[in-house]
Amino acid sequence: MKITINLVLLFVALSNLAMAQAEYAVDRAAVQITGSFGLITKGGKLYEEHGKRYSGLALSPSINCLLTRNFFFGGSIQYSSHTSDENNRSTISIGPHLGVISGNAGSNLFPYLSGGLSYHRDNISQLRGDDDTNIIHGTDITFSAGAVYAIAKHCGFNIGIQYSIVKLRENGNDLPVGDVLSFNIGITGLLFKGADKNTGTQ
Amino acid sequence: MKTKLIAVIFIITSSYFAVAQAEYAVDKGAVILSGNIGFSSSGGDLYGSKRSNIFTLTPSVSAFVSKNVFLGSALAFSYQSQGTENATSVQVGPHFGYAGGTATSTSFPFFIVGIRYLAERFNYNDYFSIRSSSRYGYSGIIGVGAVLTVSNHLGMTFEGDFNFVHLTRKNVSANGNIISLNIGLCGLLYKGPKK
Repeated sequence: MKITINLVLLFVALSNLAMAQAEYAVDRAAVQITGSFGLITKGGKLYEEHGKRYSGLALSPSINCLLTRNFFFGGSIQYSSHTSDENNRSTISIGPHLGVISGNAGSNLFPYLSGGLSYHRDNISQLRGDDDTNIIHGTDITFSAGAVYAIAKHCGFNIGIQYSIVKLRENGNDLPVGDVLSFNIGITGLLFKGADKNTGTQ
Repeated sequence: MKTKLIAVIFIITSSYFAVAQAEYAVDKGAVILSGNIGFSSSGGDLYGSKRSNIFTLTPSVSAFVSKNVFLGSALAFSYQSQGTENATSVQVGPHFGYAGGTATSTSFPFFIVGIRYLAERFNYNDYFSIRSSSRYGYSGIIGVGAVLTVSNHLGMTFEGDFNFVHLTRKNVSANGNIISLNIGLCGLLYKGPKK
């Protein structure tokens, strides 16, 4: 968890340094950020089992840094943890991705393609009875396609589709392969310095 | 469902007309937009013999009816299915609040009060047939937080909420409470200062 927080802080610090050079959303050194953090705890007769509150934590930051015009490298983390009366389950998926995004200084729409690899780990701990902890880990290979539509200078909607192949192992044994197809629309931050007035670039 | 969809489209359309007057993020006519639409389908032997599908829709819009005072609404819809079993959950309702700040501010602390209608429906298999179960109710929300501007039209929201939840199933009611803390991105829609 501490490593995850440090990585998020590193991403934010690097993005602030890098974007100072970029003149538009897909220029070299521009940065795109997305993600959310959520913490929830539920109690009362409606939710409690054996007098214990249910709690959950979810964290999903993602960052893309434009290495050159239209080519980006990035990383993402998806972490979730749920604790109920009977067990605690935490899942983390973390890894890099690489992609191409089209568009120029006059564009409002930036279509993209990307591919990435993530390390995936599930911890399931039983809180009642035998105190058993089960660890499942493996890799996710993900392909994404979509577009960022800028609704304001530094704010866009990301409309994307993802296909992931999930390969996991439990106690040294391979589990069957799974796949996840997902579609998502959310808000993306487009971080760049802006047009250089000396050159007249827009 | 159709009425809710029309209401969401109406709110988004009317927000575009309103933002044309606003000079900064909490001025009359400004709009704060957040939310997400997601669909996920998991399959293969790892996830069982039948694909598991999840659809979520969580738009929220707040429009400033005067300087610093906003009125809005939010929808949280989710649908999960696997084989013939499925679960549907809907939360929808209005909110209002006050956000501090002026044209030169980069952070806008706010408080928010709202009410949501809640409905949940489950269809599940027992040995001989598919059974249904539903529960309905409401929740009251009190929240505080702040929007920090990341750039001109992009903000990061920090919000802590307390929800009081009341649900009824077959004339049996139960109360619960939810405390939540959320950080996310939001769109700050306004025209900008007059030249």
